[in-house]
Amino acid sequence: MNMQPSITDDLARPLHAIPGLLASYDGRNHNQLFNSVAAHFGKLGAPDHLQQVPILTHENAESIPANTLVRFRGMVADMFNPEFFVGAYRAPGGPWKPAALYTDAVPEDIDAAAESAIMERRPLLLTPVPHEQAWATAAWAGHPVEPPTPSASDRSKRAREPGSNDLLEPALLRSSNAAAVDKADAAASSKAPRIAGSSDTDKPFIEPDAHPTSVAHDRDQDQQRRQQQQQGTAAAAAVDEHAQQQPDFQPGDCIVQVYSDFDGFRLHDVVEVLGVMSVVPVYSDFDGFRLHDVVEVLGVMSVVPGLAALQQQQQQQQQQGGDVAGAAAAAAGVVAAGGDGMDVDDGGFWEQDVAALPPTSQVMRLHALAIRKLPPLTTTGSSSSTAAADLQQQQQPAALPRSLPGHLAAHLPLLRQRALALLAAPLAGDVLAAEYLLLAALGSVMNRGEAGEAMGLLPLNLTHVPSSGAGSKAPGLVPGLAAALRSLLPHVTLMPLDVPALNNKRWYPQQHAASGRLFRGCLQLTAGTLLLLDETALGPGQLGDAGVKNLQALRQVLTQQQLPCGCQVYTHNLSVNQPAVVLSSTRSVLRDSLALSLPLQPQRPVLVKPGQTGQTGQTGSFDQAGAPAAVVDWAAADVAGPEAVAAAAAAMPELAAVREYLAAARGLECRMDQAAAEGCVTRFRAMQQANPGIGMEDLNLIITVSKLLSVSLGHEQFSIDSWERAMQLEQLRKQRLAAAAAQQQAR
Amino acid sequence: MASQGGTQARQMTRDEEKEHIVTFLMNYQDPKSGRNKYIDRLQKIANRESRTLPIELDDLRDFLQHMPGSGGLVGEIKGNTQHYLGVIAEAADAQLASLSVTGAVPADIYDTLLEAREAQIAKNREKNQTGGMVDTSAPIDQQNINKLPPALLRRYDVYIHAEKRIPAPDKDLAAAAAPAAAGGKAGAATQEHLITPLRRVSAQHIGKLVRVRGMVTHVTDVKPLASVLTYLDEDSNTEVYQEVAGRSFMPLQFSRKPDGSKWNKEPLLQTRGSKFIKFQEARIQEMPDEVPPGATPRCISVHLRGDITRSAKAGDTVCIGGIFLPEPFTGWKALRAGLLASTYLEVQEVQQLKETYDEALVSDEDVAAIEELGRQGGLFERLAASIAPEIYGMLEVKKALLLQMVGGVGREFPGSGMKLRGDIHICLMGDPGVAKSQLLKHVAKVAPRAVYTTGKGSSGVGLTAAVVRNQVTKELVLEGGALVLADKGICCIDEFDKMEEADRTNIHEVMEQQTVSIAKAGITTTLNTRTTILAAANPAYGRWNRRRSPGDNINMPPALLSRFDIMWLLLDETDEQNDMRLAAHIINVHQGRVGTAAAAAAAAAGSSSAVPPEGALIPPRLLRAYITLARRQQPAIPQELTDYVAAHYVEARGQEASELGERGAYITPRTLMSILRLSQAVAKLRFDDNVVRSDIDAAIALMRASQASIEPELAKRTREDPVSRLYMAIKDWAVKMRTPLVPWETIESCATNAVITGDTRRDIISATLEEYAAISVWIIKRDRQGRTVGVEFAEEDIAMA
Repeated sequence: MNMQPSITDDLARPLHAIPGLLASYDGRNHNQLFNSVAAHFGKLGAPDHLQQVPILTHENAESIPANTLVRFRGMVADMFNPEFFVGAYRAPGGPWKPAALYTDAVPEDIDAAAESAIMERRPLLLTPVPHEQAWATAAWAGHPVEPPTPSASDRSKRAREPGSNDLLEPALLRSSNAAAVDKADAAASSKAPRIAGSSDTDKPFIEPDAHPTSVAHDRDQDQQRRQQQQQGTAAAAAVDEHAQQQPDFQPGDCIVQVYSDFDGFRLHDVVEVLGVMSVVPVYSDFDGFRLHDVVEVLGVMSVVPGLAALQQQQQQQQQQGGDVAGAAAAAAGVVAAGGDGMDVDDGGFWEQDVAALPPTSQVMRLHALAIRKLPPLTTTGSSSSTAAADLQQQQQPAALPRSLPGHLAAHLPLLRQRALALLAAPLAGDVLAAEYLLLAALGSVMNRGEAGEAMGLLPLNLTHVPSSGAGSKAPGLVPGLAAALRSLLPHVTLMPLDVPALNNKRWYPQQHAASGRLFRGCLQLTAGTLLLLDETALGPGQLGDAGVKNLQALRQVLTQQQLPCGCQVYTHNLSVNQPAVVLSSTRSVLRDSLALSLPLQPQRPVLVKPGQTGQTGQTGSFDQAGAPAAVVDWAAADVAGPEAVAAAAAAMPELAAVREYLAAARGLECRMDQAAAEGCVTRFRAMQQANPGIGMEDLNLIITVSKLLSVSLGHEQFSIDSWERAMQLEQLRKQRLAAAAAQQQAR
Repeated sequence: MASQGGTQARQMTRDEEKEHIVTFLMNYQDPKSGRNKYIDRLQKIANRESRTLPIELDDLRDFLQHMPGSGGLVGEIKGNTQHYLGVIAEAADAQLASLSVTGAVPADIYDTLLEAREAQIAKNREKNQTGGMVDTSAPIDQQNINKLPPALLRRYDVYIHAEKRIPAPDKDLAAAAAPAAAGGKAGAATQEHLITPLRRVSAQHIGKLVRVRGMVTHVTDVKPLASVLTYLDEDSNTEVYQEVAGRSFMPLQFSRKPDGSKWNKEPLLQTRGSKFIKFQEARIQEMPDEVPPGATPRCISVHLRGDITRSAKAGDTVCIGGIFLPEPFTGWKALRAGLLASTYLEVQEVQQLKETYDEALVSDEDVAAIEELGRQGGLFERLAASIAPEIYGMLEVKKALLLQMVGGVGREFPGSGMKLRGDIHICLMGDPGVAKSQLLKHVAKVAPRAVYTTGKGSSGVGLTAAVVRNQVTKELVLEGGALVLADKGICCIDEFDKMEEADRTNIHEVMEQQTVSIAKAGITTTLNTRTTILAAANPAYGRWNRRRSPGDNINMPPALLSRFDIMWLLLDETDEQNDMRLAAHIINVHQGRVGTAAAAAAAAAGSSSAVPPEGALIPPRLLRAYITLARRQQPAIPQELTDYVAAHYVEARGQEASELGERGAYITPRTLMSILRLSQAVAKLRFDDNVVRSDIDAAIALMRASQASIEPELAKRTREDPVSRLYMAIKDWAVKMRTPLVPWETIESCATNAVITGDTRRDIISATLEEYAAISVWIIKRDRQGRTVGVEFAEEDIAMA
């Protein structure tokens, strides 16, 4: 009870606790100080306190005052060099007082400081978790999970259609409104149209303008600028990234200053931050800011540090380098070597320092009081577990569950059946494909071999997908499939794999030479994001240098689960964990990198009725469907569109449980005891005697399939039954492949 | 000459410190050369042959060990380096004045200018006027007025080199108790001073001397940086000097006169009379192996001043010692950045790491661990088994790879410029899926310098060198390809057969001549590529066809094939046991049990190889250290062994001709070279300066094994020959028991084991004994009656195996 007032105080005015915590500071042991801060605020991690802390989003950033306690969750998209700052100071004989500790403001009496302590912190650039489904975000935030409405899926469907810009419209409107209200944001909002609205979590992670599109709106100026940018990026990405300007920020991005143990964070980690909002005043109407005002502004700025509008200033300085140098000399000093040359060149070096200091109009800033990594894949129904977790343990994500929670295990066959049914609906009832799809989606890198090969993933190639391109009479099944996966899995990304996308987009991260910041690549995804690659629109074309490199990066992700990251003088490989499914009309161009391929086969209509209780028993319905049924024409097949899928998902009473089941199953590590291992070896030996052509790759594949099967059934222990089931599945798949090959020859 | 500023208390300590440094400079003797190292350096400066005065803290520490009352000075210097640069310079100034210039030094303009100035100052002093140094950053020092600032007069820069070695903690006392000769005994009681990882350079290092390693990503041009500015004070018609410490300064006209009054006329800056020093900025990035997985590399800015500029280029791997300093943002930047400070390293020394990378890898603990390994014995097998432990078996191949990483001894004949390579090129051929690529990748990981590439993925240009445009400077530069980058290392080329024919021809030059010649885009040059090549290739028809001759199977020209010292054929043969093991292994990998399972499997599989690896596998780090150490050996082949090798060669060649006829194309004069190289590599593994017979035996055995993999008949023949069989059995026993002496009873039982029975048994035994005694493999021991009681191997032969 004693703690209560202090906690409410912390919630309201978090920075008030800092001077007290500085009492034991001796001027040297920074880490102890930071740890005590983390310990102090870590107790806010209790659920009822946490619920009182507002969640920082792009929308509410402007309405949250500075120094407010907020929470934020995002993926680490970039890490900057550590920042050295004056953390504490004291007047002669006085106590230590916080300076730029957990704030960007400068205390007024800093000039009187006799002694100051330089500390370091590391800025991390967090971005909203890419491709996160709205329901997953809501689950984290503790909001009621809204059932996906047809309109929502409708929107997401349109977003996926290449060339559609409808999605951008709300963002555009919003930002232009904002611009009308506040001229200060003019510079930022002119950039906003480049980026999809952040309210829609379904937004593409990279700028949509990588696809050259035409805009049918009459915002002349915006449009012109935008088209210029489009051409600019398309050309620049391919030719010379040095000429390109700095990597820019996207709405919702947030720079988090981490004060202790910042080396433990990795790119693509999902972290949750409890931090203090830092708003640095933006000079209104910076465009009107002229050189002659420089000296006058100094006074203002010395009171409040001008983190804002850095880039504009820098440009100005470069344009008017000499004059600024003169003016600055009048105020403070001149660069020793004199002359513009030094100053302009110096700008290049300075660039790296400012890279981490963008204005708050471009990106939100937080000072982390407590920060922790979130374990991957726990967005479903995890609001309770998140809240209960102790925010003090920052580095260790909670251990993976060893077994399924009891309430799930009881209904497992039904839940699995539901998931399969939902996946089969857009595939025209192809249950075998749905089964494999489920396995592929459950894949996760369990361990890596000595040579770096990733174990436990099953990159899948679904072939014979009807092409959704123009002229095809069959409706594309890709949107429906994506909708089905999205309603089940928290993170799903649908990416077109065609020549323009390969040539014009940046798929893997690369460091900007001058600023050291990363250009983001669309393969920068958090662990467990399902990579759905749509190859159906792939046509002949010439891959440029960038395209080839992108394709190589993609291959590396698929085969080794490593994402290359270009770091100026060398390439650094980042370990990732991305289950992948490639949809193609014929064999995929990436076939070497994909473990298995399966031709789709539309079945006789299998209706997904919301009320229908699925077949009980673990043996899915693929046994019946697996018989080489008469091939149904795609045109006649019953392909559930995205609306139908969404409706089916919404109507499914067990949806939340299915999601929870999938998330839990994915984290299961299926262990194999000695007996099972020996069983596998003997079975494999028997297989090999029957068919000498079978090699070690096949064994690898079968084990992966059977392990995933075990996992999908909620088994944490490998049982030899799943080997048998895997063999059944594989046999059916081979039949399909043979049939498809025969069909090919017949033509 | 020396300035005497500061308060009384400060003066005392500073003078004391200076006193110590002066003593050090005058008296330190280099333990190696016995010369007064620093007097020599100062003399050079006085003679104007040098402009740098590097002070090595190692020397200073060793020297001060024997000076009472000087404790902590080195620590102080490390903690507040920038300050001591000045102290040392003052001490050196005092000594320089006492040194006479040897040889004629022509006076330059600078001297003339100085003379004029001194005359002027003297005149001013007579008139009792002011003039002289004004330092706006420090309180005006009345004593310095009417003096030229020492910084203006200095013709050199002091650099403090960080300690490379630190005293070993436990031996500290012993060293102090037994005072050694002046100059200390560096090396004995010290251990290597670790380089601070770039990532760990933090706020606590500010102001201190640190050493970091990194890659230079960006270098600016060398620019002049004002160090002492000279103004003409028109009020008094004197010169006023201003020392500049940082990168920016406040021009004098904006501050007051030394006496506090305002300037009537603004002082004029005289660029000609000012002193400018060379200044360069660079940025270094964390080394790839220091970046934690999943993080972005960290960068740090470095400043180079004086003659140390231009010592690093973009792309260099360097070890930099420097002072980590904050640079408070001034002017505009300060206003923007609030309380932030940018930081940089004030560079004191630059060490290019290309040559010394090897040294940096081996620590004293590694050496101790390696010595311990040596005591445990069975090292050759154990080291080999530690290569790619997850790949089961293939011990012989791994042995070859181990020898390749260690390498033979290269030789250059001074007169003709002819070179004999020491590199052992290996080509692994075989069916798909026999883990060739994995072996290659592991070698690339373990070898101290290695590049992995695939023939498909790299064109000839990518392998040799390309002319590319630098992104930053827009200049055309020559960029080394994989082979050039792996100079003095290993280049692992996967899918060797998939390379374009034209590109493969480039490799011919690389493999034998070890250079790459380039003539493109106006650049004609020859680059060194002393690169060992490890290639992996698939057979011409995808799978090896036993019915075709090896020449047909290998889709490569003989000219290229003969350049490989060892060709190895790895076949995916249906061998039930092997398959079972492989399958079990795959399952183990799935379960994440890599190391132990592989070790267990290897131990269980001891039947097929000669000696099962003893003990645990050697971790890659230690393996790498071992190889690095072994590479430094330069074993020679003694004269008496040449006959032995020659006899073997002639025999092997004759045998091949008789058995394989025209198909035999493996044993060429290059084979002889290969045997020598391999045996040198074996000797290197033993850290021996001489090749002994067992090394050659091991090399020949390896060559045989590789040939047998291609021509199974050869293997059969060696197995069928009872004499060889018996010899192998005896040798195996001796190695296993670790005794050079093999008694008669054992020879008999060995014969039984080797299934030598029947009437000829005795003849075979005696033939074996005689034959191998004739080539001095062993000595036959006889008792007084002349009966054979056993054989005795050479001691070192057994010890090695």
